[in-house]
Amino acid sequence: MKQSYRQMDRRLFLRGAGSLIALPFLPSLLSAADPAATLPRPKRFIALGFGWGVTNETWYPAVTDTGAAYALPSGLAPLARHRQDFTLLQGLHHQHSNEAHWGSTFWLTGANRYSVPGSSFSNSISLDQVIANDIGQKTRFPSLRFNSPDTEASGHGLGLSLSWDARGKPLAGLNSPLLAYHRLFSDENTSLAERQAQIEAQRSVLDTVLVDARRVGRDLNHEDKQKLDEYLQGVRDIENRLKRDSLWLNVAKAPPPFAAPKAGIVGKNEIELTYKLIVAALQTDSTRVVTYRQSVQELLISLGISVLPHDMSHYNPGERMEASQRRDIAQSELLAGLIDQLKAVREPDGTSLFDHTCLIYGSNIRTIHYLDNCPTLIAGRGAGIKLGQHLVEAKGTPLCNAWLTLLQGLGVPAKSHGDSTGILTSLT
Amino acid sequence: MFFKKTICLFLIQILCMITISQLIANEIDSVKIDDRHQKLLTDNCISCHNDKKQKGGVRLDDLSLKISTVKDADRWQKILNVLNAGDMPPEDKPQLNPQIKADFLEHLATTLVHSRQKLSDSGNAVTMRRLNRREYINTIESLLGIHVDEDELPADGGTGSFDTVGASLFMSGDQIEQYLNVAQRVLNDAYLTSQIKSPMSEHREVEELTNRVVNSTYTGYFVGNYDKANAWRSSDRSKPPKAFGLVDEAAVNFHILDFNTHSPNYIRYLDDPNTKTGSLLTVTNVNPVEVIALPPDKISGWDSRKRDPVPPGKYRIRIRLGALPAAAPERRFLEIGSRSSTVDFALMRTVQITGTLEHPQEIDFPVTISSVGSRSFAIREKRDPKLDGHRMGADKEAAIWVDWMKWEGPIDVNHSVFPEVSGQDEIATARKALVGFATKAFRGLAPESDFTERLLKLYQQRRAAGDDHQKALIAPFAVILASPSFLYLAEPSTGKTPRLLNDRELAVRLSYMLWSAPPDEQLLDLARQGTLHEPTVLASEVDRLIDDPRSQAFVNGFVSQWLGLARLDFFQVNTKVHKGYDLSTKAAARQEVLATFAWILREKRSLSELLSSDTVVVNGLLAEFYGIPGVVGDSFRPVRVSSDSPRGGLLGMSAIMTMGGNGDHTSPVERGAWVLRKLLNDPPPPAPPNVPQISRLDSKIMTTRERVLAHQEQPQCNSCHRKIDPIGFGLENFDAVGRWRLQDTYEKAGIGSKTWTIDPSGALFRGEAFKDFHQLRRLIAAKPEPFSRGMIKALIEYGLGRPYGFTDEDMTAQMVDASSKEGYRLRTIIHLLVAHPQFRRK
Repeated sequence: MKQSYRQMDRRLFLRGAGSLIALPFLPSLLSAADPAATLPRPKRFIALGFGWGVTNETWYPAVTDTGAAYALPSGLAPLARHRQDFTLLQGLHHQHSNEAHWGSTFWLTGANRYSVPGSSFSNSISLDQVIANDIGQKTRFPSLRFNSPDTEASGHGLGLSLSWDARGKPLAGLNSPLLAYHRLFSDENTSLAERQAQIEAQRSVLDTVLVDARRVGRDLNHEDKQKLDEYLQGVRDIENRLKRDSLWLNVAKAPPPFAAPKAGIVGKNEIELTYKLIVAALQTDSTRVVTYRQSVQELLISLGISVLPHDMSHYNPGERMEASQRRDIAQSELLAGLIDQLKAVREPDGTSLFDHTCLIYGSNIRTIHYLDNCPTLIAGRGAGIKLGQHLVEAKGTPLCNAWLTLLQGLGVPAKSHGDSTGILTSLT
Repeated sequence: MFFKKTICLFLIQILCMITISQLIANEIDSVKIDDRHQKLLTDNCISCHNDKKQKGGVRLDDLSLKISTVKDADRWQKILNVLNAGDMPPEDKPQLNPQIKADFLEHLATTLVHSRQKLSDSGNAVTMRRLNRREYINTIESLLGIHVDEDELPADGGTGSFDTVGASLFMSGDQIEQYLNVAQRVLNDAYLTSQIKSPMSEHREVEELTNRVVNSTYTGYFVGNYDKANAWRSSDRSKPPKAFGLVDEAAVNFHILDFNTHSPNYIRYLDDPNTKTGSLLTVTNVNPVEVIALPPDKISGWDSRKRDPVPPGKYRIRIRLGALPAAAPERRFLEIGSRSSTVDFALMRTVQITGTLEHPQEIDFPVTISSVGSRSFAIREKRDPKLDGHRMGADKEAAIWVDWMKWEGPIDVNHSVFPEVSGQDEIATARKALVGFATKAFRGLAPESDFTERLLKLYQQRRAAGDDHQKALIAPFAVILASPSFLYLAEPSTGKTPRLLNDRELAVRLSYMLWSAPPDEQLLDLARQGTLHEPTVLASEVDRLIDDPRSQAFVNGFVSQWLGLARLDFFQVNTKVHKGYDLSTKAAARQEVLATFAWILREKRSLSELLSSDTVVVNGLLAEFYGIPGVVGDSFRPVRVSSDSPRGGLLGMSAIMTMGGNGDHTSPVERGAWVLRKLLNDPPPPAPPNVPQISRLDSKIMTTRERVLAHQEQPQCNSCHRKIDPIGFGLENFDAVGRWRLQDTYEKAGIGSKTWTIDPSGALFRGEAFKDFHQLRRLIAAKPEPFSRGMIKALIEYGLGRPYGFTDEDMTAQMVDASSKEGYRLRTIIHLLVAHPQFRRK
């Protein structure tokens, strides 16, 4: 595989890229009367990460108050109408996480940053990408990664989105809802022949840069070759996308469900808008796997809170704690709105989108500098887990055990994920 | 002359000291936990965690004090974590002596940082890297004369080191596409600009439109509604306000109040004779900004002119204006900002106004118009507009009068990017253009022929599709700008043993370090002649590059990251408390740090002037803020201050002190940690996870010192804070924006407030005592060695584009030693790095 780009033949170069690209699956061909409507509906996955942790006192139910009849804490109160439809988990953590300000870097991976000698940072594949490599291959976009640009102050830690690829490299996200909107729904008023020609032109562009890559790669040492491999992998990814595009050429992009948003929307409005886009992307089956690394800083500003996000996370009773609590509630309100929308979208077989979606909501940071007991909320019936529960696992249970449970629930044939030691039987 | 000679001597000494064979990384020693801490484990832990009994599955009796593998480090990390979290020893067992525990935690945390560094040492390898955003922008600027916006480019970083470090600069399919799109965009823009044969311009007498807007707003909106409201009020009220054109009675009351509040401002504006010849920039809502818009943009909804769009390119904006006689000195500043559909005013620059009504001044600055960016530019009086409502008396009057505004351009058009067909053979011309552009883009490396032929095919496809010769070059040019030879700084190396860079590679490394831009013709010429590596040639090129204005990119890129200036953007200063600390002041404060470093670099002064100095480098705005008299104008220049001034050196700078707070209050912890990290080269370990929080003091009114000292009660906290906090206390005479103060106040709503005289005294941990800030500064300034060492470490990382490793210690020691003999002259340090064999090693 390493050698193939030297052959200069794109198709040879692509061989072994491991890309199984399936034919488009067309929801428009289905109707409620259609027998196809009775086929099992596809699974969807959403991961929402919010960097800095939550307010310990008012977000978590008491550890003794488990089961289905637990008292919903005030930080989650806006979710009361959905309480039968999500489960709260306590006691989970990533044993290798030591970075007190990194709420998102390892959240979906569980990696040890120092695991590779000679390197001060390494990561491994994130949960969403494991899923995308399986169920994501049937849609126009294998996965969509939303990201707020102000991530530095928001306690996310390293990375460009919540997602990391199979080699532990950060995957870039869509840094604005507007960008995402155009990626998903932008109107292509060019003819089929023109688009075909465009794809061909893009292919010859790739052929050309590969010629130069071959020269650069001729005399590189091991480390440099790895760097160039990122480029080559990138070219492969574009090739795969073009291949996918040409398969999708006869299928118009989904019609936009609402008018294009304005540029520069931030804070609470951005999260609200992004949730709308997530629902639209799933509804139109443009993708089945979504991650979203949310802003904390802009959210606080839009709520009229002038406390810095880091200071807020170090709350003590008074202004900072109130800020932290208001933020928890605002996020819960937004999440409740998202669940409303997922429940409202009807699938061709009469079920709801929520019935086929697995949604996780949380952070690697519990509160302040605590990395134990990561806040974890799982919603949706997509992974077939027990909902409406408050479950407390033994202290030190790997968060990756929950992730593995979800993988298997979604039908992904995974034996382990990160540092998992097994599945959580309490969820199944 | 003398300077040059000494430098050369040094270089030769250094070069003799080290030979290339010594450059191969030495075997890394392991890091060891000090024996004296063994007793703590034996006494307190082993009884439950041994070969027979392993509580919680943890065994410690076989734990090696030597940390030589990732596994060892992970085991010790777990011990550190449980001690920090207070989980061990269990509550029912004897607890550790607080002093011993603090010492052990400090030692263990620091040792772990060291061992992590050792274990992750990449052995001096400089990894091939892509251009970062800053470099990409400068490279395109130098190739095409076109500006790229940072937001158009893939993000850098992701691993938290300098943006030049290759290991943290990634590439993906999305990014390659983004590079292709940006290249298309800039080349299209360059093409459109190059089609313009003669420059255009538009002159705007501002009063023409402004008076119409102000007059119509006054008579149409304020007077009109006021009259309607009064008509209803003075009627018999048998008919509702609707019959008079107003929604309801609330609207009636609102419009009367609105009229009474605002109409005096409008009348005053319209009556002012100066509005007959120009316009006034008000601090009320009458006319707070004037706008100049390049077509097709319009000044506002009132602007009904139809104009043809101008092509992208560089344009010049000129404005004639002056300050009104009564304007106070601190109000004689103009802010210039760009305006877009989403942002009303994004500050670009601030200008001190020296012109008057009688003798107006003309200001002149370039702007870049792209096919994607904003085309409108606004000017306003420097201030935080949020506070306009709180103005009283003369403070409500306008201070600035504008005569006219004008744009001209495009200027500095680069006509050589798209050559015309010369002679009969179009294909030959195209091939030549492609080879020429690629060679320039590849920093002096000619493209191989099969690459050129493919590019030519792309060109022919575009020709066949109907593009003219020049336009058909855009597509293949864009491919060149998305190719690895352009995007990566590649230095081929096959063998396991290091090799020396060739002169072209050396030129590239040098220019990207000192300019963040590609080498110019002179550097490439010297490389082609094969003389660049000769010590005298190299040294004089280093001087030339430093003296070139492009070295500002080094100053900005290096200093901002080294000192962590990004923190200034993490919060907004509360201007209600810290009056006058608007965006312009913050920008000038940031600029002071950079300008001071640049002055030290260009004037061949010592790095230690950053610790303490009798000179500050300020402009008129900042001098006004500091209360330093006699400085007028926008350029930063050296100004002497008296020895009892707190200014002079980084600690006296507003930007540095502002970073050590949250825009409202100071944070002695942030400041102390910053001083340890940046000035004393003694960084505290990273904030540990799971340390219990102290919240029992929350409802108490206490001084900052009392509050912070609570940190030191628990050994987990004390182990670091005993070192950090005293330094922060010594800086408490600077408020949250770096103004000097003697008193501080703490207020807690509903509980009360307290004002106290600041006590800045303290002592460095296990070191000298200080009475006040001046003594603290002297103590720190007496340690130029650790400061230089820290700076040299950062410079090695930045300049070589790889994480600083343990294997760099020798090099650092040599550089520290050699520069100390030269009084830590900053320029010498840069010469030493460039002359060091490591700089030429691949």
